[in-house]
Amino acid sequence: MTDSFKDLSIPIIARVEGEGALHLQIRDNAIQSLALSIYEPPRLFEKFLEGRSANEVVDAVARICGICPVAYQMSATHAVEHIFEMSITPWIHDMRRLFYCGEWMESHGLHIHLLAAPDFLKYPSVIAMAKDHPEVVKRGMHLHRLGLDLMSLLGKRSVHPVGACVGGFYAAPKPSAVKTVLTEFKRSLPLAEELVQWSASLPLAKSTQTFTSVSLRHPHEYPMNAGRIVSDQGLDIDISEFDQHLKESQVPYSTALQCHLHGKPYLVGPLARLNLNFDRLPSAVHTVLDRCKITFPTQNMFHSIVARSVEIYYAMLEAIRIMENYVEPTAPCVPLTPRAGIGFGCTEAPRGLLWHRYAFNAAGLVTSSRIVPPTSQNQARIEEDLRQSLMHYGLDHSDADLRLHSEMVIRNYDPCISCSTHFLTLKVKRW
Amino acid sequence: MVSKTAVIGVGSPFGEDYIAYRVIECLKRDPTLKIHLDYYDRPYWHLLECMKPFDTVHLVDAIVSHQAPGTLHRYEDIHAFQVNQQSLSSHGWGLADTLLLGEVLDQLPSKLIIHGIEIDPHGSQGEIAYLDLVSQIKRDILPSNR
Repeated sequence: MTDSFKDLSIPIIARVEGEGALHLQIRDNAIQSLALSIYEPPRLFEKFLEGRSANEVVDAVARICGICPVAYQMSATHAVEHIFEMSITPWIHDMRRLFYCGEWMESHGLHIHLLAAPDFLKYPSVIAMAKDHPEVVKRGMHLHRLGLDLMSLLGKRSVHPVGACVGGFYAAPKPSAVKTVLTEFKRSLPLAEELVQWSASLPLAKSTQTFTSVSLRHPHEYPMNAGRIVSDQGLDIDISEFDQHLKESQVPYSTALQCHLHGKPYLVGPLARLNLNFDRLPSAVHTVLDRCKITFPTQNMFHSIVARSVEIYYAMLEAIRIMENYVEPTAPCVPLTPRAGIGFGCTEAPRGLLWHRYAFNAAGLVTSSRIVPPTSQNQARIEEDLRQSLMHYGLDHSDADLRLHSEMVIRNYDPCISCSTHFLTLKVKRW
Repeated sequence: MVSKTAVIGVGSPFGEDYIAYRVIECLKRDPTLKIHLDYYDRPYWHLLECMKPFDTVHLVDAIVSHQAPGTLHRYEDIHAFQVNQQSLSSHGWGLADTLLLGEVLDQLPSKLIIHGIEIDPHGSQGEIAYLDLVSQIKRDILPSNR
């Protein structure tokens, strides 16, 4: 056991989703303390995985999140393949990107329209927003559904998919099924382009903050399944070095671990990805963004909604590219031979870096596992943002206004605690 | 032949929120039923797309309104359903929200019946005798089974 594992001395802290509350103490119109607490009980997934075989892991981790199961499956498969010294085929590489495109579209589509846009357009919910902007909501629903279609194409179902396995997929889609999805993607591509322009035209606050962006970076791809971990402050490491630079620690008010880069908060997710990989986007995306008045990289956190829209557009272009070249393979997966070892997987979940580490014994069973999800990595950054945003907003606002503003700031990160931030319990103590 | 009536269960794999899945699976085993039967795991607003092909939709969902577990509620008014349903939702978005959105977007089927099965969210009162519920729901959908 390494020193880093001693840091995880509370084994029940296996949190990967949660419910949140914000505790704020204000003294003399200044923030005395601010704590974003995730209080959902531990889910123990890391412990559940011990003693399981490689493909059981892939099926189990899909259950961690109903929104981003593909990300959990992909990080796990890459880690296992690292241990088993497996090499995948170009077909599997492409299908994994296609699978991920579906999840980005599904997750971002949901967040943009259901959660974030009502904030920026000053509606209490998407239901109220739909009365004035029905076509915007219908467009979002359509793009979201296309994402689900892609996930189902490879995963056999969109929620907790079961199609992926270590070494590839259990079955290859039929060319006719791919063609059906491709036709719909081509027909709908202009909607994604419109979405980028629409999101860039939203009345987003013009506030900038200093923060560090962290994401994967690949030699020539916009990152999804592979790359080195980089930051805009010079970090450039192999995924196996994660622990040496990004440290998890527990805070007393949260059941989720926080994560810091060299002791400081950092940002993961679509905005960080775009900030660090703008040059990896195809010219078609650059052309659309040239027409918008937002440039990347940006230090305005509220540009996250634009980044998500850009990634939907990119995911559609990438999916079309892959599907246009689709050929049914002779084998949808490569065989696995279990061996003992330690391996790492790190992929770009819709919300950012999702890092997995597994140790397997010679029988091919997990002896230990560790999962660092993006939401826990963003927690400290959210707190930092809240401090700055609330000071900028003005602490003399009413509790109700502070609550609304805090919710908007938190939702902007698309945390997996967004379920609870819609019902944020805000405790304000004033002196 | 594509039926214009559907019975759609919604829920999640967690605890008794799984009840609609059990009901749909039970209905699927009845060879006399010619109605479209389906189940969706937390479909969010995608449910509206799923209902589009049908004129009449029977939705089956778990609800919590503090009555005896296993009680079957029947709603034809989505607003009454919304009022009586304690938020049993995923990511702050429940079935009532989806249906209200569908109403605003004019995307609801012309006839919608919601069969709400009362569950104990803590699952402490034992398993619900869902076969009785299946019989009750079946009686309700039989007029459409032609």
